[in-house]
Amino acid sequence: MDFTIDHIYAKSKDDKEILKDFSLHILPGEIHVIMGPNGTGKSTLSKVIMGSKDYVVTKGDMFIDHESILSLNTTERSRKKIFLAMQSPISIEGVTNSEFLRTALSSQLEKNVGIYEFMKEMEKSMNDLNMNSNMMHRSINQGFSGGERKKNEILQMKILKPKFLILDELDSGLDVDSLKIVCDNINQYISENPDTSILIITHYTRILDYIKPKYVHIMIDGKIMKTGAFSLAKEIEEKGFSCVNEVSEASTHE
Amino acid sequence: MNKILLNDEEKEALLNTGKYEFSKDGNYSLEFENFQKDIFLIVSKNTHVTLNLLGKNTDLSIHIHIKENAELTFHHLLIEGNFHLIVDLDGIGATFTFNYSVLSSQSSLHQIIVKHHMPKTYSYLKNHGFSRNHANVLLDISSYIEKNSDQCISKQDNQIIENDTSMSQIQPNLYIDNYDTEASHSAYLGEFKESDLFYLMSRGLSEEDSKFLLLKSFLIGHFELNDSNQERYYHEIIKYFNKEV
Ligand SMILES: Nc1ncnc2c1ncn2[C@@H]1O[C@H](COP(=O)(O)OP(=O)(O)O)[C@@H](O)[C@H]1O
Ligand SMILES: [Mg+2]
Repeated sequence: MDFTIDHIYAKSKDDKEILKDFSLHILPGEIHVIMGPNGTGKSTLSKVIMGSKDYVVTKGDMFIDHESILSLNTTERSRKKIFLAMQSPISIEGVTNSEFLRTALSSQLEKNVGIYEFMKEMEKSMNDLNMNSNMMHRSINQGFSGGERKKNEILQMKILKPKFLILDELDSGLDVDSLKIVCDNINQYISENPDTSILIITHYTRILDYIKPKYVHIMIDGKIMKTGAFSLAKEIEEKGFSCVNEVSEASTHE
Repeated sequence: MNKILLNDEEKEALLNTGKYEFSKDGNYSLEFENFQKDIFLIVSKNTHVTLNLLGKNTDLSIHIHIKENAELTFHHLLIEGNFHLIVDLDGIGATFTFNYSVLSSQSSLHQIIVKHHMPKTYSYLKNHGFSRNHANVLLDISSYIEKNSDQCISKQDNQIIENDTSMSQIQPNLYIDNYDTEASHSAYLGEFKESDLFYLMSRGLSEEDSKFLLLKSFLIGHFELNDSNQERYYHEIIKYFNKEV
């Protein structure tokens, strides 16, 4: 999927400007990474792409396959095959994972998905992720550890089959073994669906040992300050964000 | 534990006299529709009871005595109506867990009073109200801990979700006359949380479907029901909305 963000400005409902002239272009099959310090607006970016009502886009536009999605609500964006694996997935008591996911899949495909085929696919996907299959019958993320929640996000991805995947701090909460399993699943998905565009949001480079990006962007104070190849991530790992900070210092104290 | 429905005689006695004493452990289910009654219940000493009550358009006033070391877990789903409950924790170690949900499209009053008369008594009240069509739902929830009631635990968690704006209110009251107790309450009044809706919608569910799942969670998610009761209650909620939305 071709994804473009064109000079977006976005603020929170209480009028705090978070994204400031943010632009990005991802071609089908490309993997991009956004790195940046805490509080710089990375999660906000992901939620603005997904159409969260917590933010208002005041300027700019956003396109998938050259069509503006700005007027679409969150449901419609999801049905356009954008998927956000969230930094902190919420839990919902009394609604089971399988019920939720089958409803989601049915509405994405616009037909009622049969229980039998659905369960088969769930079981296989959970097995791939090394998840206990009884989690299917448990409430959404209720009592799940941080790592289990992240695996559950990727389970949903596998079932819903997006064309544009956003991973917000995927590695937080995942131990080394689980991170490897999860990334293996994502890589497998990419190899089966090579047109999938991916945006990885992270402030650690750990995940990049498993999923190799084409471009690395450094985001500071709501906009991209520097873009480079994979080597830029390694440079950040060694020197920290300070190497691109000079420009931002001025703007954070404005 | 198996579900016990009161046998015909017992049920008739309950309906005629409005009285019943639980003296056997068990899981009891009752359903009422278009019904108004004062009911008086006792949970005998050392008896462990789960009571599932489904009310549709009812106006019940229930007074319960829970005796020494007896335990009552009470789930009540009310679909339209008012409710009045007084619980006396009469014996040492009496335990009361109340999971209440009300779905209301008309102004309604839900008054719950729990009295800790003895030491080491426990109450945990979870009251959830869903208001639609601008209905004013009033949750008036009071817990009393008396002077000689040491080492009691008394908790309240009260929430109202409004589908349309209303003048709904939560009035949580904790009257505590004893320092050696643990008491707490929390309250939420508002719409469904934006972050919850966002999560569900981001997976492709429509806003309506998302709200319905959240409503299900809100109304029966905190009930510890066996599968058949869970289905039963969910079915009633679906039926209610198919009919009226
Ligand atoms: N809904 C919101 N309302 C107000 N402020 C917000 C909201 N969301 C994010 N922020 C603020 O915007 C900044 C960026 O947050 P976030 O996007 O979560 O950063 P990051 O993911 O890069 O750590 C932070 O200062 C945060 O407190
Ligand atoms: Mg973040």
